[in-house]
Amino acid sequence: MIKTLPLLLIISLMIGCGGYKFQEVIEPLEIGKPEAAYTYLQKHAQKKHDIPYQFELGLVAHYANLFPESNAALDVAGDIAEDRYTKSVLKEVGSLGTSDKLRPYSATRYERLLSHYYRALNYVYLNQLDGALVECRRATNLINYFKGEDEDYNFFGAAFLAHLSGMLFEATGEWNDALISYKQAAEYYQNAEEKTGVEMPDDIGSALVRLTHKLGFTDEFERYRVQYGEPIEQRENTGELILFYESGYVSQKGEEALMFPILKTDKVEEAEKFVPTLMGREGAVYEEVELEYLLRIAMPTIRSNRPRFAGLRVAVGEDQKIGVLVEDVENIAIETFDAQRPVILLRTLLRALGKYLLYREANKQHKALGVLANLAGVVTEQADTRSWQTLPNKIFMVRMLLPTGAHTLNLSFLGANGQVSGSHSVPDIKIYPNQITFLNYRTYE
Amino acid sequence: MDQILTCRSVQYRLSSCALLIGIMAIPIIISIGCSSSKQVTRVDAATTIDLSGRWNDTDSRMVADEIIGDCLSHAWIINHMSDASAKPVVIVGGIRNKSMEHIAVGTFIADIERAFINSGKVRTVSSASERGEIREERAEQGEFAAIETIKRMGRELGADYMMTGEINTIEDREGGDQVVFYQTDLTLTNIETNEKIWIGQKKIKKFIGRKKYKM
Repeated sequence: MIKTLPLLLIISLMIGCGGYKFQEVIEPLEIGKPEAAYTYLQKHAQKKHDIPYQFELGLVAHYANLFPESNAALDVAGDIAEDRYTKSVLKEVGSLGTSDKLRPYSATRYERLLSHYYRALNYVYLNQLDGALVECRRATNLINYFKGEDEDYNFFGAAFLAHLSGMLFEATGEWNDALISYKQAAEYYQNAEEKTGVEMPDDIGSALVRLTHKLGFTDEFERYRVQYGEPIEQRENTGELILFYESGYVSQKGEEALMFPILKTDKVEEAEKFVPTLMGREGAVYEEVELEYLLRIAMPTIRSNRPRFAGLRVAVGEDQKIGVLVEDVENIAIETFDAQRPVILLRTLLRALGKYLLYREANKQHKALGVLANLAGVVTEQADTRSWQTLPNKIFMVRMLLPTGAHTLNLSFLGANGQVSGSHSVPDIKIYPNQITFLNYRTYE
Repeated sequence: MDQILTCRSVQYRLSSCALLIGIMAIPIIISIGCSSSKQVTRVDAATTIDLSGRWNDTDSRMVADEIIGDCLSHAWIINHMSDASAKPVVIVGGIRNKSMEHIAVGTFIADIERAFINSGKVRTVSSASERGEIREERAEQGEFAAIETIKRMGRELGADYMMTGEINTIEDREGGDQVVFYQTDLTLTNIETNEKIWIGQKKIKKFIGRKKYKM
């Protein structure tokens, strides 16, 4: 057991190695210099590019209008996530003795889906709609894989991607694919609504009516017409604007220290049986017990970080439209973490107990060794807080029919009480007849 | 340090030595971990190398060669030759990528054109995007080139047939096992009559297996 001490110390040093600092990434982003954030990330690339880094690089490149670079980084992240289906036994075992940070990060399902949102937008901005459709098909395929992999799949992020796919297929005249995507979006929004709090946006109902009518699916058209109303006829010389408004940052994972008492009466050697007992002691208050040891663990935690801007109103000339919430990334992140927490806690307690037993054994042999074992245990005790940190907190969508030509979009950012808390104008947005113009806009406040 | 090394029990001495060696090994381990393991080897362009399991250069070449081989062995060429007493002129039009991968359609079109031209059985003309550049050059020649070298306008070879098509994929996945099925459909259409004179299809099926665990 004592022989693992050098290994613990080595790993503690390796875990400590870091590449970029989140604060250094967001500072230039928030002052409208995403190119500087991109340069910073490139300069601070780790030797072995990992998924969170590639996600950050891809998103920052997207905001810097470096669309091919953004796609390249997000593709790398996706490829690594695919390959991480294969787990490394050594790393899994190693992480049980040291820290969860040693486990390769596979990305959460919603992160993987959202990377397709940005990739699809990149292709839209590169004027390669076929490429954007490839991203839609990949996202659909990924959702199907998640559905097949997990009977209790929560559909986090799936509805928004299916919704986006519907809009992109519609933009390219692939009516049948668009209809299927909208149908899936309706189903997924309803499946996830209870946990995400995001209702199915009204435009999906309108799209179902419009497309079944266009495709001549009479029975379905009648059913949807009764459910969602008459189809809206598009006036001549108009096109559609679809604006995605991304607000704030998704909740960041932090670290919290938790204490678990080991009592003199506990049979700690039987770890498998004892760890569930320890889990039950979270937050428990004891008045008088004979304490053997106070086990300190570092657990990841996540807290709400709602942005100041909680909505959007878009005005173009006389026309106004309020943004509809299509993705609550924070809720999804918190729900995903809450679902994972019991397993993380179990693994962390198992590891902490192992370190305690190592310390106890070392201490029996010599006090100095005990101190070293304790030191190694403390240094390696770090919570795994990896995630895609630059993601927005919420995504809203505005769909509006506008006359053909160039327009200035007057954006009003709404506070939690619905009052205007900020504004910005986006000039020269071109609308083409019978076409859809896609746009995304981000605020960080 | 001497004090520690000359401690009481043998077991403890061994443990302490392991600790000391471990600490001394840290820089070596880190340097090994950080050193580059990249290796570059030149390989023949025709060699089949499957890395990710996605559509690659071999697929593009193989599909183009086989499908065009099939196209050129059909009766439409003989029919055209007997009707027009000349080789058919073909233009490769749009080939849509409707798959789940970002396929370099340009490379695939180039492979098709190569297979057509190298067969010697048909004449191939430039596609719409290439024509623009050539026309621009011809127009500029009229202004800047020596008179005896100027190429005349209105002498382009009009295509008799246009090849269009699409690449589709169907993917099935269970755990770490993945089957990707690519289907390429190409159609040759008579530009004058809109008659479809040949339809070709090539299918490729790939299995990508991922283990659940590795060491």
